[in-house]
Amino acid sequence: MKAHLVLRKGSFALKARADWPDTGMTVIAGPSGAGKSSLLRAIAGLERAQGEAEIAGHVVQGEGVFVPAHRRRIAWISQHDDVFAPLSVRANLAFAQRHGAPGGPAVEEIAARFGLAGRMAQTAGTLSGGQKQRLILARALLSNPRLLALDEPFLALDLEARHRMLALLQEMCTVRKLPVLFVSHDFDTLTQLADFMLYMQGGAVVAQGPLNTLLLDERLPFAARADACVVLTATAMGHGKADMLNRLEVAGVCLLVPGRAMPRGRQVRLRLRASDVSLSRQDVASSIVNAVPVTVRKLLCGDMPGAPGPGLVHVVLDLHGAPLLARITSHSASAMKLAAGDRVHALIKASALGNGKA
Amino acid sequence: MKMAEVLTPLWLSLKLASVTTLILLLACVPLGWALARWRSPWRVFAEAILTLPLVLPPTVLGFYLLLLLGPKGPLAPLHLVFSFWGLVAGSVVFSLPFVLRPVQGAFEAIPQSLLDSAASLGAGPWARFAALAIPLARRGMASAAVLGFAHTLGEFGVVLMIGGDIAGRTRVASIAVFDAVERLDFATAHLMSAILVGTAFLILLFFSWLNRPGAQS
Repeated sequence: MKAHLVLRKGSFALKARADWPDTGMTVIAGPSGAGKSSLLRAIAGLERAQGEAEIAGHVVQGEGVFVPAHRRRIAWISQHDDVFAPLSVRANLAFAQRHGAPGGPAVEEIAARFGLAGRMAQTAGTLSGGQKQRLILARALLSNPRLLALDEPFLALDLEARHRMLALLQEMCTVRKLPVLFVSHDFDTLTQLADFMLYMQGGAVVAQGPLNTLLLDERLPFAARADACVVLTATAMGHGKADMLNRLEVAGVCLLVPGRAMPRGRQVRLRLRASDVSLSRQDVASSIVNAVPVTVRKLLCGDMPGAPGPGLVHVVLDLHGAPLLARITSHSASAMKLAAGDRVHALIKASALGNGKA
Repeated sequence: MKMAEVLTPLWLSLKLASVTTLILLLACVPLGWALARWRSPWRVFAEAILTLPLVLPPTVLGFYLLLLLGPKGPLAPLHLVFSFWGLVAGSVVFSLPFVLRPVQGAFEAIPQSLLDSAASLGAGPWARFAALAIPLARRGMASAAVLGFAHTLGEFGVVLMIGGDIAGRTRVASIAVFDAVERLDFATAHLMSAILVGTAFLILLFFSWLNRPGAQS
């Protein structure tokens, strides 16, 4: 999908050029006031921006063309609880189905999936915060959109409820092959969901690329974070009855991860925090179960951009083509005489791996 | 005291208030929606003009309406002066701000993000107005109807200027009370005034109930 949009609103100017995949989850990240929400609204046709945009193979604006928001088939979800409060849950859902594109899912099926089946007659305004969010997401899916556009999804919910909603969102959109574009400044949300990132600053998209590329880009604020991480996709290979560990295959190596048995062949997202990865010259047996051979790509230390702070080093690693980030002390780095190109062992704390959601 | 002298003006007042309220609602719902959505510097002028009847003395309003509708006025062919429909025309102008303001306010209270959500679900401008804004603003519209009705019941100056005081045709309750007092028929004046006070109280009670704190919007 492509967007090249220009919008002036008072003293703020959006001048963004973005290009992102037709599938999967794309996050618009960046500091407050960077124009993330404005770009999302402009793409949805809710702001009358100048320029071109092509969404899911359809030109929604361009030379002499401006498709209005209600014909773009981009379901936009704001930061607010935008339920139609005086209407019933059923009427809220029916509204989306009636006005949305034909060929969408059935109301009953979606209501059941979102845990709303027992509340169809209830007035939407009397739902709890979490139920309202479920209703809004269900409503968006019922309109049968080509793109789901979310502004800071589920930020009002507590952490646990938010994780559940994000998992539900991910599952529903994967099943329906619905691409998602979402705005988030919440690191936890974006690492849980995103496959691709558009990074904005001062009304412009200053970096765009696959999630890990931008998470490790030292010009951006992610690599230097205390909770810096990379996100890898793993495939479940089986579950050990004796040790209760899942065997997950990532980039040709096998990682052991505790937790409930995952069905063989299932794709899992693993969020590997730099602080859960350490390095060793030898292949050691320790309480850290996973030791995998890696190549050192880069050391981020001292005053360098992307460096984690005094006394610490972020080491960018390559695991058979997949990136990995380790956080070690400068003391260890110099004791090990680490340099780019070195072959070492990355020790990954297995308990850290359970976080990623499928 | 003849009962007809009491009941006929009361009935006429009720009829006038009902017809006026109905016409005003039909006019103010689209007008209030348009004003609430209108982004233009001209909006303040339009709002000021439409609010004038709120502050002008009813006699001034009646005077202009008389010039407009009277035998030499541009709307003379409609023969509205001294007729029931003349009263309706005057009342519509007189009570317009009392209906328009709450309706427009109710539309303005609908968050923009809600209407944008509806648009992104595929609802066009008409669907957003008819299927969403109207149900969302229904309490505001009910308040507006009650206020417009009550205000029309109580009007005096405009009605007297345009309608005169013709028994059975334009003599509404407020004028009948004035007549009764003038001819020192205090019994009739008492009865009609008491009925008007009671009616007004009940209407305002209903209005307050509609706007009670904690009521769902």
